[in-house]
Amino acid sequence: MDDSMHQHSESTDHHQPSGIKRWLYTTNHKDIGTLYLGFSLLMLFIGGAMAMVIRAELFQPGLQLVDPNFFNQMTTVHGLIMVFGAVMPAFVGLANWMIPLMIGAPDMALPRMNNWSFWILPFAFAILLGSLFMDGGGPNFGWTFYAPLSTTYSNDNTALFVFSVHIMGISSIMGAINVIVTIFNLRAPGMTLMKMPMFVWTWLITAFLLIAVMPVLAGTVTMVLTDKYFGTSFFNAMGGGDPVMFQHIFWFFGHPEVYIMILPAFGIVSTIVPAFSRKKLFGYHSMVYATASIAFLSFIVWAHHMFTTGMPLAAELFFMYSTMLISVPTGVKVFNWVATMWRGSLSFEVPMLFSIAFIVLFTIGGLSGLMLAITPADFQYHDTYFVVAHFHYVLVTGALFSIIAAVYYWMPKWTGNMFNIRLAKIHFWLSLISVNVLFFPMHFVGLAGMPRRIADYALQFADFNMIISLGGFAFGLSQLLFVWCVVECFRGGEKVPARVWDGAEGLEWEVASPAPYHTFSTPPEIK
Amino acid sequence: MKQHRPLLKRLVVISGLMFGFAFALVPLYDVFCQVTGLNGKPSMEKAKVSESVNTSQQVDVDFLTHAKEGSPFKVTTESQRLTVNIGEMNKVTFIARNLSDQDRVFQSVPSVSPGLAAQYLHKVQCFCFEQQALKANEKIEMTLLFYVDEELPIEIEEMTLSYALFDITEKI
Amino acid sequence: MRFLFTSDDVIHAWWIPDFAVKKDAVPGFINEAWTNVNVEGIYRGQCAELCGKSHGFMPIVADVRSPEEFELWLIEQKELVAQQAQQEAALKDVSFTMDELMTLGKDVYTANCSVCHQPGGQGLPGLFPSIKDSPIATGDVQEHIDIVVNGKAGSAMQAFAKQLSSKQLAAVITYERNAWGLNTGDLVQPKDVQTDDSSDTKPTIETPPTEPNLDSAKVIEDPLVDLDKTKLMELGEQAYTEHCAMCHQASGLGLPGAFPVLKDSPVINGPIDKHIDIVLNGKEMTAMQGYKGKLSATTIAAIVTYERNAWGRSGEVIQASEVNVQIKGAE
Repeated sequence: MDDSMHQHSESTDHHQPSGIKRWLYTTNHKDIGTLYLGFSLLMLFIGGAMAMVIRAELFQPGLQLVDPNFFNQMTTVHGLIMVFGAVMPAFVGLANWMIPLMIGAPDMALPRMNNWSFWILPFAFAILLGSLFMDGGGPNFGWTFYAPLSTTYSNDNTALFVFSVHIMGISSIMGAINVIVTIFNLRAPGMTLMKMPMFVWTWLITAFLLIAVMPVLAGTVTMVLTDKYFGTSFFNAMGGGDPVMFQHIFWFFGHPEVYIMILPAFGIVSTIVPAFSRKKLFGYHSMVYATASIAFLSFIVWAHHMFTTGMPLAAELFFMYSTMLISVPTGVKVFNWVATMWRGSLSFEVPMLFSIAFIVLFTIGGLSGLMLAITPADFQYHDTYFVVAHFHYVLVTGALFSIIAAVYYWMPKWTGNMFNIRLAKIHFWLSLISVNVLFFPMHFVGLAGMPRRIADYALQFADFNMIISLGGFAFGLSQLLFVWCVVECFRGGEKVPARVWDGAEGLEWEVASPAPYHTFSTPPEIK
Repeated sequence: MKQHRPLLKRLVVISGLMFGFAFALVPLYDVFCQVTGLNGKPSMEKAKVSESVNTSQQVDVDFLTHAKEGSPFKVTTESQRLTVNIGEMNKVTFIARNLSDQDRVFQSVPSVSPGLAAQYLHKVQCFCFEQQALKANEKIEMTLLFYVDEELPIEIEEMTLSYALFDITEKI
Repeated sequence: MRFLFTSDDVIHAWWIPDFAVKKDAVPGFINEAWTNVNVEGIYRGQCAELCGKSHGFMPIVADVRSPEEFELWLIEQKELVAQQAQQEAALKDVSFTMDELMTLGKDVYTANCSVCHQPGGQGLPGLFPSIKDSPIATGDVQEHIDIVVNGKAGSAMQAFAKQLSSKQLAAVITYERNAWGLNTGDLVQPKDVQTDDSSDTKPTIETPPTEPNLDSAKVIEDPLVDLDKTKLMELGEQAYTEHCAMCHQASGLGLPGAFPVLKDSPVINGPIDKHIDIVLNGKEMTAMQGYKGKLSATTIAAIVTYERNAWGRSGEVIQASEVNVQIKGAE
């Protein structure tokens, strides 16, 4: 490459650094998207390994492998890693890759902040994971870190947990700000808000949720820090504080957080299903309004996590009704996906397989959620495996499946290669079967009376726990197939055209596959 | 980048405000609870003497004290349960004892169940939250003077006032 | 029934599914719940809020009786409390010899302390501290008394003030200071352990007495009646849960390294008289204590029957008379 070759075409080579420097200093949304996705895949396996430890211990009654304190560290860090290290960064990675392409923008609005947003994450997780190996061990109070277990009765490494969460929070907030500014300011001319793809809409709303509640998490975790180390009494009755107040403040963040983890999934499914039904998304407007309603409602349901804390009847009723209400816009969305498929010209490529599985299985998760919303019933379900079943259905067969679907859907665009379809289909079927063997019986043991977060259980739960553990091992192993498919696809494969899938719509399919390093340096015209 | 500044500024401010909101939730929570009595935290204001006594409505009030096992002090009361008329002023005497050979300070934190009853329990004189110093093996009397508000819903037939006792000698 | 909940440390949750009651126990606050139970019986539940490493090991047992039965039981308990108070008062002026204290102390230690601190006093590194190597056992006596009587906040070391009489406490502390070659020569008498508080009554309800109430005027004779297998299994499961499960676990799998497995073990599968013997007389040099004189022959027969028929095994039925033969044979 010499100077005479400077051309301002789509795929100019800008003497960019290669190797480590490229990745360390990149401000390119595609690179950063890849970094986030690779990071989240690694975190998925680390969190997954912890789940394997949990399931191995719970395979049989009795304490065979780990002591209860370590078991509690596993459940805690498994939760933290999956929520903050796997699901959220994966969605941010997809946002980075796809939003500029979908709105015809050359990059994210704030590329240098984008780089920071990513690179502080490995740092944060190194601190969190490192604390596992230090004297005293890692956090062992559940990912929800209720006080005073996390304040008065935790070990000194709690400070590391707090800093780690602060850093993750900063990363998310910066990422969310970037998404909002990008979507508001960099849409191609002619792309009005109501012409944006659903993935962009859901991410816009998610980003607002993020900047609203991640700071509240930061505040919560700061209060835990000061209560523990600086003598404040936010959550200590002796000093006039209230442990239940912790739960209010935490869940004010915590509930919107779970919608943060599902709205982008809705956007993905709203993208993939129309593509493989060869039909426009049914009810685009209602989808936008439904997403906004869900986001708004997510702020007024938080105490449904706290029905057993001793709330007065009026409060229990309010939160019960508002929680049940959320199922309405969610139902609208499920209906619209099915209506999209109705009389569509369906084909069952791998992204579509995962998306259809999402629709069915996420709905099952939603139904158990509706059961949990009924306060007097929740008295029996609360803190049992029934809850564990619910949130794993919505998070694994929900969020995770949508991420996998998205990867299979867009990977050919990123790499220029089709993935190994046969292997991917095997990955799908193995995952589908094992995930249900893993999580469905949890409904039963929960209803039978098995509490959460216990290292050992009463004999009557033994049989189901063995089945669950076997499902878990199978599901964990199946994900290795996914890694293989991804790595293989990045290395090579059947070449694909710009429009990889014939029914796919959106600006991303107008650029070549693999997408050039710089795209839409001049914005396209939207009709 | 210039075009992004205004929006960027606004979003950063919102984040900052939400961080502050988390801390604002602390007093907000207290205000909300005091107004509605939702967490059983009785009103901390010194109540005025009640206007009238309603002998047609009564409520049973239990008095409990609870200290961690092995605590060096003990608080007891003769009247563990009183049936009181609405509006009537009642006095309950608590005896606090330091069982150890050192001078200690303790504090009582009140809690009322059902939570909703808390706002109707007016404590004219109470030792709640007061730092009570007791010399080694000393025994003192503490007084609770209270009345139940006329507005108490008729459905509430019994309530419990429980004091959690904390040894705060090291903390002060 | 109306329940009131609070906590001394972290948030727990009290849950008995059959009562449809689950309520958080919050430190510094009280919560209430109510339920109606129409059938007498034993109801079980578990803690339902992560509370630390023992969260999975916090079972709840409720014994529900009719109002009449409850009144009777209440009267019984009050009598027991009065008796114990009398005994405590009498002990104030008694001085025991080193031998008496060491013998009783060893028994108390085996029944209450060795489960964590081990028969040899060495504890379990990382979990339960050693006593024999600890400065407490050879240091200030008052400190030693304090930690046994009042427990140690923030640790699993509970306060034994309400579970053991002052005679037992004095004995076990004396034992800990002189066993395992420590030989401090310190003697602790009941009055050293007693507090001045006259209203500090020792409740009797929950824990079974570890020392037989030989001073009691009433000695209940074991009727030694033959029972059917179902009844024996029912009694046996109850008794096992109360007396054995804390070490050998409800699953019979024990805690490897600390408490042996019962399920499919040579004792369970082996000769009945050896099985009865180990339950009656304990096992030397281990934490397994003897239950002769502490549990009736009927109860022991029920336990042995349960242990031989639980966990997938179909075994023999042992009657109280058989157990009684072995008790008498030794006397």
